[in-house]
Amino acid sequence: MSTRLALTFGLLVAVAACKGPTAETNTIEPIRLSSNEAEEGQVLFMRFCHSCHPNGDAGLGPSLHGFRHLSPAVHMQIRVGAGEMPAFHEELDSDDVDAILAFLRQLDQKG
Amino acid sequence: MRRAIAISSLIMSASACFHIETRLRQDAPDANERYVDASHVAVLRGFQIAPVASGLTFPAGITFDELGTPYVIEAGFSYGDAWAPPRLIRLEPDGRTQVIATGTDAPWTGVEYANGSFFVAAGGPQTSGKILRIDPSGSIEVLVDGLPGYADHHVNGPVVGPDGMIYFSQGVATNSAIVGLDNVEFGWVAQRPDYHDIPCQDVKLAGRNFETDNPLTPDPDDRAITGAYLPFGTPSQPNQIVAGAVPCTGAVMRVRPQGGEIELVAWGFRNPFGLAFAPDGKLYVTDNGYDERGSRPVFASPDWLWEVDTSQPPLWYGWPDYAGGIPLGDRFDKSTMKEPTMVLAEHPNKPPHAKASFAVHASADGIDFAPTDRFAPRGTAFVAEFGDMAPKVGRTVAPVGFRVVMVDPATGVISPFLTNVGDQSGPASRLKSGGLERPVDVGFTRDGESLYIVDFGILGVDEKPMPIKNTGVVWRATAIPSEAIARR
Repeated sequence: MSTRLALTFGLLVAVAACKGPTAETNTIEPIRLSSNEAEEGQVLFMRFCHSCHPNGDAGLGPSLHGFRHLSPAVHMQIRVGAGEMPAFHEELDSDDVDAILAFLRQLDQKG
Repeated sequence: MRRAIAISSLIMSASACFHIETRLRQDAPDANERYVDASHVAVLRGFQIAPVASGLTFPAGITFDELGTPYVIEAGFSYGDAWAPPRLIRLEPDGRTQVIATGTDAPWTGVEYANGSFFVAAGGPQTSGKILRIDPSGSIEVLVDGLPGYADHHVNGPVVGPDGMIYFSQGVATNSAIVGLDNVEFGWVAQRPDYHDIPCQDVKLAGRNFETDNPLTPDPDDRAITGAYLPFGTPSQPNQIVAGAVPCTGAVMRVRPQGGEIELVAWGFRNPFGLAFAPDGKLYVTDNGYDERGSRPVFASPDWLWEVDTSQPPLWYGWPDYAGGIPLGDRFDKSTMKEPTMVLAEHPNKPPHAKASFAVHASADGIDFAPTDRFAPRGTAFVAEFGDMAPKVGRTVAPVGFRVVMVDPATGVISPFLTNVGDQSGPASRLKSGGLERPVDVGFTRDGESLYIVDFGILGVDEKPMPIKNTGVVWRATAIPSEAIARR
C-alpha cells in the first residue's frame, strides 16, 4: 500500500471515528437486515471485524460508520491491511467484503 | 512509516472527538459520588430498565431462590487493592437489603442458588481459591479448597449443571504464561516468588525465555530470565516437561454438591469468568482474552464465548499459544512488532474456534441465557461487558464495553441490549451521566420475565485501578407491556 493511500485512509479514519458508538436516545433499535447478502455480511463482520470495531463503532480500531461511500478503499484496507490492521486476504474474498459492506450500509441506514 | 501514519491517525481521531465528549460534563457530580438515572440507559426497543438497589460495594454476581427472590454477592475486593468484607445479600421487594452471610475469602466472584444452598466462588490474593456453600441462615461451609487463584485471576462461576455437578473455573496466573514485571507490579510475585501457572496436563515447552529486570534482588543491574509455566527468574529448556495437575489454572472444573474429588472439564482458557448452561444443556463460557502487557504482550486479542461439551474428555482451548482458535503470531503481533511465538513445543489438541468474539478489552463477564422467548429467542445469551481497563491492558481508540449484549451462539452475532445514552461510549462516571458503570453479571428470573444486571460500580483506571466503594447498583430490565408500546 502506498504512503499516500495510507495517509488518505488515516484521515478518513479520523473523521469517521467521531461517529459516536452509543445510542442517541434511550431506545436501541433492533437490527433488521433486508437482504441475504447483508445477513451473510453480518456473520462475517462478527467473525473478523467486530472485535476491533464493535458493532461498527470505535473500539480498539476506529468507527466504521460512514464508510459506505468508500468501497474501493475499504476493499483494499480489508484485503491487504494497513498500519496495525491485519490483512484478511486469506480469510475473505471479494464477495465476502461486499457482503460486509452491505451489512455496514444497512447498519448506517438504521442508525 | 505506515505504522507511524496509523498512529498519528489514531491520535487525530482521539483529539478530533474531544469536544464531543466534553458536552456531557457540565453537571459533573463529585468524583466519589454516583447518581443513578435509568433514563440515561438506552434499552432495546420494547424493554425498560430501573434500578432496584444501589450503594453496594463491588457487587459481582446474582442468583435467585425458588421463590424468585434475588440475592447478590459483594466481592469484598477490587483491582486497585481495595478491600471490604465479602457478603451475600438478599434484595427485598421494597428496595431494602438484608445481609445473609459475611465471609473472609475475598473476592467472591460468583454465586448460584440450587437445592436450598448458595454456592459461591471465593478466594484470591490472600487466601487459596474456594467454592463455598452457604445455607439460607448464613452458615458457610468450604466445599472446595486449594484452588490456585492467588495471582492475576481468581476462581469464577459457579453454576450447577443438568447433571447436578457444581461447575466452576479458575483463571490463569499471568497474561500469557510468563511471570513478568506486570505481575511484579500487581504485587503477588514478591509475596509468592515461586508461583506460576499450572497446566492441567503435562506440557512440553519450546524453551522460549523472556528477559526482564529483576526487582526481587537489591542489585539494580540484575536480570531475570523466565520461561513459561515457571516461576519468575526461572528459564525453561527446549522439550522440558512441566507436570500437569488438577486443580490447575485456566480451566473449567467440577465437583459434586457434597464436595470431594475435583474433575477437569476443559482447559486452555485464559480467564473463564462466566459460566452458564443453555436451555439445551450445553455449557458456555465467557473468556477474557490476552492483554497487551508483560513479557509476552498480545495485541488485539478479543474476549470469547466458548461452547464446552461436558460429556467429552477434557479439551484444550488454546491458551497460551492460541487466541480464539487462531495461533498467536498470525494476527496478534502488529503493535509491538514482536511475534509472540509459541511457548509450547507440542499442543494437546487443535483448539476449537470460539462461538463468538467480543470486542478487544470489553471484558465479557457474566452470562445467562434467555429461558423463554420473552426477551429474545430462547437460548440467546445475554452477557455483561464490564468495560476496558485501558491503558493498563492496552490502549483503545474509544472506551470499549460498559454495556450488556445479546449473543446468538449459532451465528456469533452480537448486538446491544443495554448501553449508555449519548454519542460517546464509556462508564457513566466518565460520561457524567446516571447510566451504566461496569456491568459484571446478568441473571434471568426463572420465569424469564425479568433480567437483573449487576453493576460493579465506579472503577476508574489511571496509573492504577481506582475503585470507589458504595457505588454498585443492581438494575432490572423488563418488557414494556404491549399496550404501553402502542401508546408511544
